[in-house]
Amino acid sequence: MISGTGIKNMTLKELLKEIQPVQTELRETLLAQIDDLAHPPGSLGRLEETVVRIGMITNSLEPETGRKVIFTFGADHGVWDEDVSTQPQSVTTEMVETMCAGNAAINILARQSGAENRIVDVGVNSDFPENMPNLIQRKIRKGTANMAKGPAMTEAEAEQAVMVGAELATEEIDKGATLLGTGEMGICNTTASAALFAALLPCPVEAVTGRGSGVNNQKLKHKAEVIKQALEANHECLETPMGALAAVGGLEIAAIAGMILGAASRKVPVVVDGFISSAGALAACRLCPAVADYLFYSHRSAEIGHSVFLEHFGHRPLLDLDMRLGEGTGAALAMNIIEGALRCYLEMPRFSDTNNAVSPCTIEPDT
Amino acid sequence: MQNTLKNLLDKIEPVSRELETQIQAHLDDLTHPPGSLGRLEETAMHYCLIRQTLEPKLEKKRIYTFAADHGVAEENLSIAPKEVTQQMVLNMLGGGAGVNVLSRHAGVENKVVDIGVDHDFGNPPGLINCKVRYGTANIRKGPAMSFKEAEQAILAGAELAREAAEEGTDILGTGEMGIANTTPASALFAAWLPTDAETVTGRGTGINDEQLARKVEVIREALETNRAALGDPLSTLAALGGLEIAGICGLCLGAAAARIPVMVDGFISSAGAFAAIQLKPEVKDYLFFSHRSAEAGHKIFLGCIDSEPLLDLGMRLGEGTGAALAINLIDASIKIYNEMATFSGAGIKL
Repeated sequence: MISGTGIKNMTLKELLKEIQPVQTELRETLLAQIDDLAHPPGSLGRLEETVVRIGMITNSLEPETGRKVIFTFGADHGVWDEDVSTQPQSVTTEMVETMCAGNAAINILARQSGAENRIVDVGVNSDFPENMPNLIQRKIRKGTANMAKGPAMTEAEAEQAVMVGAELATEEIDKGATLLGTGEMGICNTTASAALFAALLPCPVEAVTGRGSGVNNQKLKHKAEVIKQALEANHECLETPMGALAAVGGLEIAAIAGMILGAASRKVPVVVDGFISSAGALAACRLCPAVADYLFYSHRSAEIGHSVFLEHFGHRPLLDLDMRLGEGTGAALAMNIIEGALRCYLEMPRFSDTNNAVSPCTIEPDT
Repeated sequence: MQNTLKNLLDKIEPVSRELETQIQAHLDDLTHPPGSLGRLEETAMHYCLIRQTLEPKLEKKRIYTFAADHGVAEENLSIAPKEVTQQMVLNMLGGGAGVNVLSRHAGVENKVVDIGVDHDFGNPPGLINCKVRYGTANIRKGPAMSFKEAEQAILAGAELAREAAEEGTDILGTGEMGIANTTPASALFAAWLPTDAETVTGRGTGINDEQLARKVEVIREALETNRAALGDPLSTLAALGGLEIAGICGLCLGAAAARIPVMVDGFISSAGAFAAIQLKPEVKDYLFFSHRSAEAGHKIFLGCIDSEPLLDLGMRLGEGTGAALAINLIDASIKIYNEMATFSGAGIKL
């Protein structure tokens, strides 16, 4: 395990080496302990599966319900110039300000689920006041370049964003966080995400290009064209995960990838929000396939391409509420279910406990 | 006091959609792309309409878990003996059951109601005694209970809802505990959907193929034996149902009469909710369906009444566990409605 301060001087390559596959030795014991809870075996459904996964990730038979932290990374996108969104770019800045004031959806849902929320500027195209409350300022550049014309950023910048995410994740873990969640804010970031899915899954552009904040049919068609143009313009960079992330990704997407890598390096599970966060997760998984087992997909976004991604890997998110807001809102809701699952495991009486009113022999299935 | 079922049913009015435009305008004014919070917006709308308010409050949340025994348990259709009902009631009173944990987690009060357990508990602290009888009779051989007993159980559930409303409860949830109660629930679904017993009969706590085949047979026999009683909703409920199912039916009716939303748990709770809908179709306006149970048949019911539950987590424990998790989502949606910045207030233009 890396030390608390070590990650600051680490390269991405070194970080990737720290990540171990999730250990499965405890699986049988965890399953047996869950069957020992006073309930018909299996009747808590996916709550049971969640406990088993967290037990394996943390390599513990008594996984804690500790601090939960959701990171919302804000960044702008040069591809906005191509008129692919219904929104002015300034909305990224305005929403970051709303989040820092505690009034955005993510603030409310994070509070509701007992999670802390960290707002991070990794690339918003504006200057925030130096001492802006509640904002972690780690700007790498003021928005990406227009990917339709060339790479969104350099590989060095992308790596820098990845390492910011990893560093912030490990800092929180050092301070006792036991569950992390991803979130983002960036006008046009469904465009970058769709491009990244198309490049890294890979899949046809149309399959992963959706309406984002609500573009009409004509703009949707245009958006797909712009993405194709971006993939064409950056053709040579798409061979490696980092190349693709830099060429057609975004700074918030890179930071999410890094956050996931950082958490996995410390054996801490991550709850992935929706479509854009999943693009970050995909980048992380392409950089280090072993991180896949550290991830929980919170919800199925209403953004069409999300189902394409989820089904590609057979992921079943915990929720399907037709949400498409991002910010980390789905992650916040899903954290609540994950914590509920852990509490059932930790707080329900066991058949093997002789003080228990329900005796083990009475409810065991006759197989 | 809702002293007769007729009085109770007369009090229930359809939910008015009068405020819909104003509620929608507020939801659209929240600083987010309109509609992007998906079903959270839909549930906030539904909740506000039920409560007839533009300023919803959701503080006091309560789940009633109704416990009862079933004569049909003697047909050996469950992996667990009947005694587990009373053991689980004690476990719930001790705060250790799944519904207790998930209620605590969701900030929900949980109340356990003995409406027909085949056991004398004395008067343990926390247990609400509404016992109508010591378990039902075996539905394979005749009616589960009398007409009058079913009405008594319904009115007991409704009275709890009325009391809860008086105490300022904002949302109610249903739950149940009763060994063998998937059997009467399946029988009711078969009678009311209507459909063949096989399509709505599942493995309950986890029975094997042989027991499942036997369970389907027993339900068919029950439908046959009680055929004459299946003409109207109350007699069907009395003939095939259970006391906890009738209690849940009453809770739904009483809540609707008091204009309080009800979060319906899973398969068995849905049978109670279905009974309430049979008695008074307008009740449906007041119901949220929490989750799709893994019990085969729940999906068919939800499809038939065109309701998409909030969660689908492969759960089949009952007790009110799904209701507790889903009440948390309603809480989230009301917090969004009340606390989020508005465009008109923040000056952001999307």
